[in-house]
Amino acid sequence: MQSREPLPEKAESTDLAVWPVDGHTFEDILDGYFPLNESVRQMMARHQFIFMRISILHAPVMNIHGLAPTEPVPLYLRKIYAGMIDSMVITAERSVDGMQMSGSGAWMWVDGTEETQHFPASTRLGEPAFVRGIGIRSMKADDNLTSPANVAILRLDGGIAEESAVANALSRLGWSSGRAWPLETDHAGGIKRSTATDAAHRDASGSRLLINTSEDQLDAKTLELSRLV
Amino acid sequence: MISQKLNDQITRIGPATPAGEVMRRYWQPAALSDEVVGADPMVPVNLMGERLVLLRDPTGSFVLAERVATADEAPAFHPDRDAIRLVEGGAVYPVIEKKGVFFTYMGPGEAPEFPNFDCFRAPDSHVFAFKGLWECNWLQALEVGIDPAHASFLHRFLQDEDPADSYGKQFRDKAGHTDMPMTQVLREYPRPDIEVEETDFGLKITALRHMANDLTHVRVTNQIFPGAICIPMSREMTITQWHVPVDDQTCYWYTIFTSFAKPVDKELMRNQRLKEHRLPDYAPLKNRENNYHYNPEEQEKLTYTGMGLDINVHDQWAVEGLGPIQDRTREHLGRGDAAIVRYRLMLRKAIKAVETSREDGLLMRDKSAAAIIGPLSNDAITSTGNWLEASRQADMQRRAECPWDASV
Repeated sequence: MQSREPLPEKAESTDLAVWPVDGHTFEDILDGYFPLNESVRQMMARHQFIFMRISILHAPVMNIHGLAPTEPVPLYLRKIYAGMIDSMVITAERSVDGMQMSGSGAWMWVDGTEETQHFPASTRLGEPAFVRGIGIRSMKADDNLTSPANVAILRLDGGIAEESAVANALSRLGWSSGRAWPLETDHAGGIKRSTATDAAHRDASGSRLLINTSEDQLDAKTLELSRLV
Repeated sequence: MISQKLNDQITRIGPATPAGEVMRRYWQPAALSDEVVGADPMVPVNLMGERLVLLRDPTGSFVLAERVATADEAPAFHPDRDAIRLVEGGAVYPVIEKKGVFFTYMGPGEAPEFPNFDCFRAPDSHVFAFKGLWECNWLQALEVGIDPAHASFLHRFLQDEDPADSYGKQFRDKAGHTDMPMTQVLREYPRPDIEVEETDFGLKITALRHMANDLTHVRVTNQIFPGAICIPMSREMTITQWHVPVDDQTCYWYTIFTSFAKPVDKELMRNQRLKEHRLPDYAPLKNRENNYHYNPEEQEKLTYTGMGLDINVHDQWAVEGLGPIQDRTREHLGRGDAAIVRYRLMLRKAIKAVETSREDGLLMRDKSAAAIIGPLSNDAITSTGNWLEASRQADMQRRAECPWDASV
């Protein structure tokens, strides 16, 4: 059961709604050695996010069979449990019972044959991992912005092509450029192995997470990060 | 905690190894100019797992050529000139001499441009180069240099020396514009906040030591990809240091000291360092066999390690103590190891880029490398709220007063 704040109703006169929210792009170190969902939960708590999208690259992982999630890692790693995330995108959302996490990525196990389609939930990072991402502290429209919004939510109903909807949304926000990702998450699906058809299966309706990449609005550091996440 | 296989991937540097292939795509220090004597020199060079000799080719240009070697040669073996035999048809690598160091390119295709770092821009009078042998893998040697917190422990001095006696020594000057010795700053503020930024040459690493009275000590160091660092040594000098593999279990550090003020007293600096090293292999006189001259009385009264005042010995003990190749199946990094985490990400990205023949993304491999200047590297004590700009201004002031063109 999730506790996401309800998204505002779409304005009746239009086929989309868009509103800035309290969110930002960020860089951080995701702790190693805990189960991955615990490391993600701690990162969200540190930043006070209710929703977060992060990307991980080239991160060693370990999956220690028989080790309970609450148990500490052993003093040294036996080789059969090691692997590497080549790339992974994780979305996480705060829920009543903690946090829900899903995503997709590419990973490999060094000596094992466990080439499953789902990333094992018990997997832990083999060392802390550098991540870039976008976090949101509230899904409500942020009326207290003192500087240009960096993050916004766009709600679609499928009646308009996504490309047009995003362009329209950017115009309403006053952004000269921006980027968009699906906001919905498939928590039941966990973290899946990426496939070539992932992008083609993007739902034409639903909500999008928008970030500002307007050169005329953002300071250099924020702009660079908005382009990198 | 990474597997042995993943540890091998980032540490081993022989031909056709993942990390070795990355390292070979960059200029690597091969020998000091001080090692080259006479008109027809033959200097043994042991580099990247290969047995080579530095000599002049028939055109008079310096090259590195493969020499005959036996499998049981010591890693830093220096055969006598009369015993050197070249491998007929063996590898020959190009060489460039810069600021007291011979660099070589051992990779495929065209060698990259040299970045225009301060150590290469400064006149010969303002640089001095030296090297030293460490009996451990190159990566652990590099990683101690990108851990800004280690200096507060490993290089802790329990008494402060008069900064007037600090010439040519690391961490012995005053901190910034104050009268506070660096040794006191490091000792009293041992847990810095660490910020890491990617740059066009590697990483900028900033250590912030928040002090009393709303002051912050800002120390800016740099990782230069793949195997070098650039750090402040004193208000006058910076250190640019490469960690160069001899083989998987041995490496040399090569340092170019760069002065932003007076010409370097090369004779003094070389004599200071020759007291701690033997020739011809530049092996340190304090080493594992003599327990690094560990003295418990000194440890009680003067230094954290009890191994003398030369910080190179402290680092040497720390990295050699991890074993020939650090066992990272037993390693536990934290968020304080942010620079190490970021560095390994860069290295793994580069390995992947080389393996998949997508080398466009490798740092400093295209013509634009020649336009890279700096990097900024200094110590400053500033007001806490303005540390970023104040640190930059301190570096700009040093550059403005510099007798050679150090502008950035």
